[in-house]
Amino acid sequence: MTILIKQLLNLIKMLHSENGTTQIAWGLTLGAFLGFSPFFSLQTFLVLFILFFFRVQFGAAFLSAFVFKFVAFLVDPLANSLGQWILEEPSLRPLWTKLYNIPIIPFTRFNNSIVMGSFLAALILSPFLYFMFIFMVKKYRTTVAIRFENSNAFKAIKGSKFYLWYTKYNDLYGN
Amino acid sequence: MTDTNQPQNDSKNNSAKAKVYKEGGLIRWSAIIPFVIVMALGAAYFKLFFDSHMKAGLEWAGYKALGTEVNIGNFETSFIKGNVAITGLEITSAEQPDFNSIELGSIRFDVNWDALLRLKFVVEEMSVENVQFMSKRKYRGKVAPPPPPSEDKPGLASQVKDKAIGKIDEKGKGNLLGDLSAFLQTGDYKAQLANIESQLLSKKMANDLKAKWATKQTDWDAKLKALPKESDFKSYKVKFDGIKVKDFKTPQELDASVKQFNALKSEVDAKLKLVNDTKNEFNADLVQIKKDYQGLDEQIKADVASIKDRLKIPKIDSKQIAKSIFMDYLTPYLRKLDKVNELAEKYLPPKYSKMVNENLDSKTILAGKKKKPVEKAEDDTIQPHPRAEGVTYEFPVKSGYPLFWIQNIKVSSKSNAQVDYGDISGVIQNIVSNQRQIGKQTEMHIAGDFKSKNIQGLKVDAYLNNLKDEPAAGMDFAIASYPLQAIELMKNTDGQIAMQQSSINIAAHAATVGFKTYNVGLTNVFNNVQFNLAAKEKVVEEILKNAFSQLTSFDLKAEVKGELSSLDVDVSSSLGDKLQDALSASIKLKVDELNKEIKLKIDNEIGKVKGEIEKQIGTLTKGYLGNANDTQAKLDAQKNIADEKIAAAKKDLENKAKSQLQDKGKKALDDLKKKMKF
Repeated sequence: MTILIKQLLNLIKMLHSENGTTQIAWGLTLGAFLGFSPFFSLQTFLVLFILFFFRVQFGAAFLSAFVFKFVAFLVDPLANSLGQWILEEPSLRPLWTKLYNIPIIPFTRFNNSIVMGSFLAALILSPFLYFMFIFMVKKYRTTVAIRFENSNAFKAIKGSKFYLWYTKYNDLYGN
Repeated sequence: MTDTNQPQNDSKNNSAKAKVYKEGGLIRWSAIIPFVIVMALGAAYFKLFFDSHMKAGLEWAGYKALGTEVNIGNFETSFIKGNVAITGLEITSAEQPDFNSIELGSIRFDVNWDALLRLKFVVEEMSVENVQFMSKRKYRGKVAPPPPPSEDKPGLASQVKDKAIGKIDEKGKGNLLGDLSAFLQTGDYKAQLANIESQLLSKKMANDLKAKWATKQTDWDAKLKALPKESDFKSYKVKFDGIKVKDFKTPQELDASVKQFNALKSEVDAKLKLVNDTKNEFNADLVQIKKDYQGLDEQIKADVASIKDRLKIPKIDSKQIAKSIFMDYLTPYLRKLDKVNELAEKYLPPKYSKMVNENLDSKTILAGKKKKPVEKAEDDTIQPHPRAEGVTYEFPVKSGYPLFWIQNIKVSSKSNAQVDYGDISGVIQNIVSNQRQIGKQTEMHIAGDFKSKNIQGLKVDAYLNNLKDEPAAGMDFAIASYPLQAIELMKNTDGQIAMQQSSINIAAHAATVGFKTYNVGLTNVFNNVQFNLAAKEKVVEEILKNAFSQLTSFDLKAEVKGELSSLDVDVSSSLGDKLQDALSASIKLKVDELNKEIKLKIDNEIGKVKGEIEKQIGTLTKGYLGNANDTQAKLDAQKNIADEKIAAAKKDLENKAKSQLQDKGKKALDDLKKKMKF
């Protein structure tokens, strides 16, 4: 839980800095994959692997996964239809049979209509989501972040001793 | 400067330092380095400690599972090659802890990587070499204390033993010699028989029954008196005859006659009902008296058995003799079955172990109770709302494996100058978690000799078939020749029957279907036998010596069949036949005479009362029931006469009406003709 809170604080901090835009956008996009996936499968591991080994913003991914989990509830019927359609497509049947017989691949659970539909939906949406998240982060920084930083409440916090101590601690031990 | 620019400039000035965020490179080195360290530590563990921990774990698990010490000389695994090698596997014998029940020189197998990547454990070929049975251990093996006997679950051994020798024999188990001595010693049985009168339960029972049915007979007489008599029938006849049945002038006259008939018929019906009720009561009593008579017969048999037991009359029955001599010899074999059942119940997959467990719960079965279904406790934990499950498609599996599959185990060992491993070869095929997936049953075929132990022609064929609805398992086991150490078949204060070292030929089979019905058989042929015979009584010793002196070979056949709750046990032996012949020649006359005496005694004591009850049955059947039947027939006849008379009266009136109509029609026609002047 502490790690999760720390990652979310990092996300806020990063949102209020001038760089890390792509890290946040990648985190949010990969989080969408996690959120769409209904079960724990091989592709979930793959996304976690990318999050772990590449400099992608963790907090953004977790936040995105949380939000997209709810979105996924709404789009499950659609994902189910999409998955059924593609898995029942006669021309693709040899491909699915081949994949089904290859070691490891069945652990992706691609033969489940919702897994297949959700994965395809996430895959198709990912480029759009990536650029949309970049646009949104930039927009946030130029509008919301600045307005927030200029608010009296933030200035009051910033002027407090506690904030000074926090800044010092963050300079020494922060990311 | 406009107002809108002001905040931007301010923020740039104020937090210039805070906004410089360390972006770093593409790779998150801070995560990779600890990960690599953890992986390296894992690899080091597997390289340095995994094998020894596995060895210790298997030894511990083996002890827990089998209840005897299990030792492994060396355990080696290679993850890269996917192979496992176990050497020096020893399993301590529970009966003789200084020896191993089995010792396997080495077990080697390669794991199929293709299957492993599908999370399936498949071994194409496993080799088991240098098999030894009853090899000497370096030190005495640890054996777990046996669990306390369960009251709820009598073991197979005790069930079979109870069945085979019965409770009476259990009291004086192995006391054939004692009975024989006592029987031959006792001279005047007539005096003993004279005193048993008071102890005859059947006599008391017969007297009680006699009294009970004598009282009943008074009731029967009273009931018979209440039935209609000859005078009643005559009176009915007079009444029926007095009713007008013809020459009716008006329909009203006929109606009055019919009413009279019906009233009389109702009276006859009421009597008929009384007769029927009485008849039913007589029939019920007849059933009861016959039942009582049967009960008396059974009590007489029990009394006769009890007298014979008290007088210690030996049973001259070869099967009974074989059972009393060999049950102790057979019990260790049955105990092994108990052990197999125990292990099966504990370690078979739940589906099968449940079957074994249900069948072993003989107390419930014997009581005729059905098991109550276990009610599931309500799950009141908070459950997350599940996502839709979707449809899971199954595509044709071209290279699928069952979850667990050892395709082939080659068992082989060859003796050499240093060690006698025995010359064994065989295969165990298809140990698999799902036989239906591969369409093959599990089989074992092993054959060999252990020359140093003089064991020749060992052959084991076994199978487990789960391809059909009900699983079936079976085994055939044979040893052509096996040296048997000296054994005592029977020993007590009255004497002993023992065998010196002999050679034995064993053929055994065991089979079960659905773990419900069992069929276990054992045929032993004992060769080159020499008996040690002794008895306290000279006469008995002589009988035994005469029976066994020329005997150098005999067989023993044991068969246990049926469901666990109702096993059918059969033990026979040519030794029993021999002894039966010898006993027949020596004591048959005396036994027959005594049996005759007992019969006479019982006949004297109970025969008369029994005869009276038989007479009562005859009286009830022919006398009372016959009377009731006659009365019923007469009443039925009266009723029929009444019905016929009513029908005749109706017909008479109908004919009369018809003729009157015809006359009137004819007259009208004549009048018409006259008017028309025809």
